[in-house]
Amino acid sequence: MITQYFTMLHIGRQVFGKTAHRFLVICLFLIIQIITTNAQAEGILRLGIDAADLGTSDPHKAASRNDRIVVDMLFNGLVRYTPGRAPEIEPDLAAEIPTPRFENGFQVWRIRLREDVICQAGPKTEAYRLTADDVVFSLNRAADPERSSYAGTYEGMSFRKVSEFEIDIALEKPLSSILFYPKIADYAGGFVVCKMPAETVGDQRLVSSPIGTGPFQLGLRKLGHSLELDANPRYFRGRPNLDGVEIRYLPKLEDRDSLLRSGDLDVIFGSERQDWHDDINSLVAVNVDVFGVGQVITVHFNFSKTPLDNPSVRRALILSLDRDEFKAEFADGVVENVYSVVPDKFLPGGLSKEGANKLGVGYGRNLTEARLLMAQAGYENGFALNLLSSERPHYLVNYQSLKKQLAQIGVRIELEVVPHHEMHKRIRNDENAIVIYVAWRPNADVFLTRFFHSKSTVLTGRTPDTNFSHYAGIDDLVEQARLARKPEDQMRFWRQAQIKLLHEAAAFPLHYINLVYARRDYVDYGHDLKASMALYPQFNEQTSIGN
Amino acid sequence: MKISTKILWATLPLLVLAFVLAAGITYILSRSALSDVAEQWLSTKSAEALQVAEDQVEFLEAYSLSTIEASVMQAKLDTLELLSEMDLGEGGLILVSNLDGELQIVEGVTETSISNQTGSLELEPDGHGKTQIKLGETVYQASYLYFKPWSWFVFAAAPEAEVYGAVNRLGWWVLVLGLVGSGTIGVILYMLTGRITAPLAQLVSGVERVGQGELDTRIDVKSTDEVGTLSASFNAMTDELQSLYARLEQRFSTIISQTPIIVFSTDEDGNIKLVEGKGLSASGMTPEHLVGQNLKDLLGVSFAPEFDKNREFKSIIDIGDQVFDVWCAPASTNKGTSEGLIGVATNVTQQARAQEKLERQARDLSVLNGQVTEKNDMLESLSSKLSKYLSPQVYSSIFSGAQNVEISAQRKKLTVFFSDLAGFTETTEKLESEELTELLNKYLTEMSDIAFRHGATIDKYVGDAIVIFFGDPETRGEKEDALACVRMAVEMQERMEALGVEWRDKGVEHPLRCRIGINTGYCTVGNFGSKDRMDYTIIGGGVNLASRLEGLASPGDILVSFETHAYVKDQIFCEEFGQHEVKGISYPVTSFRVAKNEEKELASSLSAMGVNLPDGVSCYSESEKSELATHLEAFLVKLRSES
Repeated sequence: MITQYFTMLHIGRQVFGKTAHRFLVICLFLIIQIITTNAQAEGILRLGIDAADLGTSDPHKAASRNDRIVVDMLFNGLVRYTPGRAPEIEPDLAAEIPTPRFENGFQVWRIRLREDVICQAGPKTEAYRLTADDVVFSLNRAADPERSSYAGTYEGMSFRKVSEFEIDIALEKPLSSILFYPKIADYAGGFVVCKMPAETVGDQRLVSSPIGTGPFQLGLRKLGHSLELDANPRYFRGRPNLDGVEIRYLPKLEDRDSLLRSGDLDVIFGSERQDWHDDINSLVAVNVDVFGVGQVITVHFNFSKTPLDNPSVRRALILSLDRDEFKAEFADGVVENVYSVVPDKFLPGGLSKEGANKLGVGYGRNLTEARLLMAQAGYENGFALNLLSSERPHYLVNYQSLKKQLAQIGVRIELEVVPHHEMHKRIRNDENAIVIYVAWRPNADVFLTRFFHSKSTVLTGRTPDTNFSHYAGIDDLVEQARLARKPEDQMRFWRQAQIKLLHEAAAFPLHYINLVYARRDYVDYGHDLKASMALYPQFNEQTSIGN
Repeated sequence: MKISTKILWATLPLLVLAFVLAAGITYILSRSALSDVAEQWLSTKSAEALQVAEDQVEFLEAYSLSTIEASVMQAKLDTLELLSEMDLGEGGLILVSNLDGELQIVEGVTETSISNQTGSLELEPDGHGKTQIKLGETVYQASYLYFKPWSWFVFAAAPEAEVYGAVNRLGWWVLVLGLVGSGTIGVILYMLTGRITAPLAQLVSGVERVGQGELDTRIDVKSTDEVGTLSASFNAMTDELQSLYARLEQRFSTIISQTPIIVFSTDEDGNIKLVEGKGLSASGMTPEHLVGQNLKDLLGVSFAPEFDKNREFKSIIDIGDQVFDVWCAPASTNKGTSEGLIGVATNVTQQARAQEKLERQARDLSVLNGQVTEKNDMLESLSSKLSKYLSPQVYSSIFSGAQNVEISAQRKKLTVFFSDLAGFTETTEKLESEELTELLNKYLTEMSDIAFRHGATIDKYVGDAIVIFFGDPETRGEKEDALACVRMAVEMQERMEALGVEWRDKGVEHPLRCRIGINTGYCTVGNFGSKDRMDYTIIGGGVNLASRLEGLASPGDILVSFETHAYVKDQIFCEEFGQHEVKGISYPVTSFRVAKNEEKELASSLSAMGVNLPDGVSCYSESEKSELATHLEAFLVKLRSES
């Protein structure tokens, strides 16, 4: 639309000259406004999400769901999770799925690029053809701790241009395809940033001026209100059906809900609450999609906090919990019980319910044994804990349920509800003895490394991350799994690692919580919607809206 | 039986036997080998399975998981999963049981316990080996090992039907393949040998047809091998045979139609079956007349003994007024037996008649020849006698035919010799007639011998005179004739001196001395006289001059004319005898006297001393001679006194 506007303005200048210019501009503006308003209804998809504003559009920094949504539409990876069918992998910027070879002691993956990919025009650069130089630049950028939040993922990797459309990625330690493909997929550091605009505008500007190769390009941003993304007419898979996407930042569910109902939004991030589900599902013109990949909710027990340093206490706490009681707080179908920290439904390396129960690490509620363990540990009268929770519902309800269930064995919890970002900050400061964390990680290695490797221990770890338990019992298993070349061997390592941490009661996997989005019935995402790594239904060139 | 069939029957049993033996041996060896291989294979697989479990235990210990029951259980599950993924063929299994024979859960196995065909399987801890186990209705051949850490027996099992099934199927397959292979090879062999021998059979058939007279038989040459070459040679041979036969037939027809011969053939009894030829018409006979008649009857009684149908014979016979040369030979069949005769009768009547005539003429000629020989002998005798009266040259010339005996003469340059005995008349008066005859004959014979040796032609004897000439009928050239004549004369004089000594010894008081005159000049020589009586002689002035010089010569001397001297002066020493008037010649004749030997020696000595005497003194006058003698005598006196 903006392009159309400037095109008409240019024509008007040529035809009428400067004298009539002002009058004509006003007339055209009014006409365009009318056309644009209609076009929005026809060609602009309006999305309402539960965030106050865009955090960053730098793909190598984006971590929150609302930021990931934006960069997913602006950038591509070398491979991508098939839209709506994650974790299936298919080529994206690469012409084919790469396979490794060994060369001079390195595992080398040669990647041949598509030759029809165009980098979008930037504030100071024209559009141009993406080459190996751009990809090598982007990978090196992703591996740079100064410019990337995911640099650790690329340790021990080097990148080399082979030809204009071929690169080699060399790994000091060979990886299986399960672990390698996520590094070059359209997720986190795998998003490819174009070299020329990035170098021209600078890395800091890239936060607000991201230049990629995706189906959409950055449009008008209204701080704290909305962000417009325009269709990229030179997208290598073809011009998107949509003219653009408008993202509205609406933290309150009620706001999103009312705008969806009034027709001012087409898609909204929904709620896990059962009453909302019941209400919204009663509307004929609205559909609710519940899909993966959602996030895993795990209860982490902090070994550094007394009395949770006592294994019997931890086991007693676990034996007092019932996954179904947690689950009852959510709408049907939104959450599913999980029995290992790696959800076996979506990722290899997890434990099924049957498997965990057979091994004795499924942990069903057993208050008698729990109390016995508490007594053996010297806490027959229980103990008190102060915990803080995010205000977000899927956090808060779980904390509240936890409080309720632990009370059965005498554990008294004082709950402090704080803003979501504050909770994140404070739990990383090791304030909680029990942390309920909702997260998604792309594979078992990342799950286990970031939550249970000693280097990820909050505050004290080598690279502090989200090891809220201070657990250090599976470091060697996780590291060895990373070196295994056969996926089957890796999965055995991961399973044994999880068995051990469950046996030692380092954590209690609760749920897998699916994503909930509601849409007007005229919205067609253009693909299946079983699971999406982008944490939203994914809008691309196939997505369309109609009346 | 065809060659291909023979080869097939000879080789097929051997092939079948070989294949059956090979099948049997293959079956036995394969069963044994496969059994060993299967046991070894199962043993290896059970060891591999055990290794999987050991790896898991090592894993648990390495990561301090051995004490975690859930980890151990997971390791066992992982082990069972890994074992279920092991490839043991289509029906093979890796089984795991505890000490009680209870099977651990393995994918695809529904049984809960392990047993053998007789019931429960009892295995000792720490045991290992091979055994048979039964799952459902299937019997397995198994190898097992005991895994102590988990008290597991690990079995690698394969259905017996699978282990030995291949061998059992192999046995039947090998047998069937052997038989089928034998049959196939037999058929191929039969076809191949048939293909190879087919041209030979064709060749044999062709040879048989040629033997039966079908010379137009040809073999279709398709191959380039030895048989093809043989077939091509056969075709070339039949081509040549056919060509030869055609030429022979043509020649035979020509002979039959052009030559007066009769060709015939008979049966075993001698009855004529076929007769033809030009000789029939010449003899006034027809085939119709002769066919059916017996050859012995035709040959006649005298010829009958010759008839033998088993051998060749030949003879001359008369049939009517005609004479035939008959040749017969047995007509043999292919088996070598005689089935009659074939023969040729050649009409040789003309030849026989001519032969008789020739013999008669030969006899007549023999008689005539005897007569001729007799005449020749007589003529030879006469000739010999006549030769005594003729010069040998004249005789030879006349009898060789070189000179005709007819009156004819010719002018030739001859050297003519005349001799005469001085004092012969006086001597004849003193001798008796017999003595005179002997003396004269002696003289003439001696002179004639000398004359013959020098090639002279003795013209005639006239009393004691002899006329001789050189140059006809043979000449050696005028100069040579002159020289021969003078030398003859010199020898005659020398012989006369010898004869003078003989005659003196025999009482002749005055031995005869000879005067000789020689002239060289043109004479007329030839036959002179009538047609009934003629002489071969010479006439002319040259003859007269020789006669006159003989008259001038002193006894014992030889005078030669100027012309003769001119021819001989280089070799015969002569002294000039001066010029003399002679009868019958109008001018003075210059003559020369042939010096004797002592005169020639004197002249030679003086010449060597620088004294050159004139050749003779006849050139001096009498006064000059007297004066010259006076001077020479004074010179002699002076010479002797000084010497």
